[in-house]
Amino acid sequence: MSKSDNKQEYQTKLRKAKGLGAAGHGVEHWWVQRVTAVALIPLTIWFVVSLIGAVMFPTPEMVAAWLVSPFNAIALALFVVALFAHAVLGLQVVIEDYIHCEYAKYFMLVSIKFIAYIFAGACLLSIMRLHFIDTGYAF
Amino acid sequence: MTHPRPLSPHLSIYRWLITNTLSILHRITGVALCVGTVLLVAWLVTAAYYPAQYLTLQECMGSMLGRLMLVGWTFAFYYHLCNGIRHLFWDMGKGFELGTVNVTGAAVIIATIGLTAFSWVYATQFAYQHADLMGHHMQHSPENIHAMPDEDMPIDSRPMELEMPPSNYDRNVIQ
Repeated sequence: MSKSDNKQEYQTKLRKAKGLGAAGHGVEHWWVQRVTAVALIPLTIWFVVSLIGAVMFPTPEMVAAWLVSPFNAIALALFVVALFAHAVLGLQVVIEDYIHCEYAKYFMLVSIKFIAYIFAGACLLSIMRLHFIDTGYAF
Repeated sequence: MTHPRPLSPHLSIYRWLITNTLSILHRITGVALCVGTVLLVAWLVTAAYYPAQYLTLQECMGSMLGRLMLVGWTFAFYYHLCNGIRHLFWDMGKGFELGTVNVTGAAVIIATIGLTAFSWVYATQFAYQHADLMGHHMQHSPENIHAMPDEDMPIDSRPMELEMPPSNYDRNVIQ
């Protein structure tokens, strides 16, 4: 008789079928939120300092010249990715806290994820284009 | 449809202390910054694909309302950053004593206001002067490009001359 033969079932079969009880996952959300937060500390400081240093980039050529440097391009890309990941997780918590109507809640949760992917994709594509566009200047 | 149950009093009865105020402000600034990401996307996409609309966006951001929103977003950003660091210390288990919580809370507020004020004063007053030190030149928005500085303007307030060579950007623009 091995130990598994006497393993106690903590849930009735009906509860198991309904999916009730402890979820067993969810801490990834907590970790990703904290890891992106730690990553965002230097990235956002760099981004704000760059914006102020270049006084908000008066023309698109200035933005392109700024992004010619691979350091700036990669840092901005990482900033955008970490920002949207952190933002979506945070918004998810806010929506779950305040919206209780099931249809509205799930609709909002799914749509913020879609919108985040669209925005992040648009930002990454724009960064790539500005990096590769040859304006003839560099910072 | 179930009848809504009576709620125990909450906002009308509990006192606003620094602890709960900063906590809800962290959430509010977080949501405000999410709204700000729309501006970030617009800025990047117009810079890459729609240069005319980029200049329009810059002008809107330079208007009174635009600047007010930018100051608001700066405040929200610095507040969320400082209080976020405070949260990360809590996640490590440090700083939960009542006295410490109040002190760090006050530090967050002071740091936020200080950083916002410093950033805006620096950006509006000093960044242009330092532009030459950083080795790049500034271009004015289309309305006030001066071919030659006016003779009767005081020397200090003459706009900096445009010295950039013509760029290849326009040849790459989507028609």
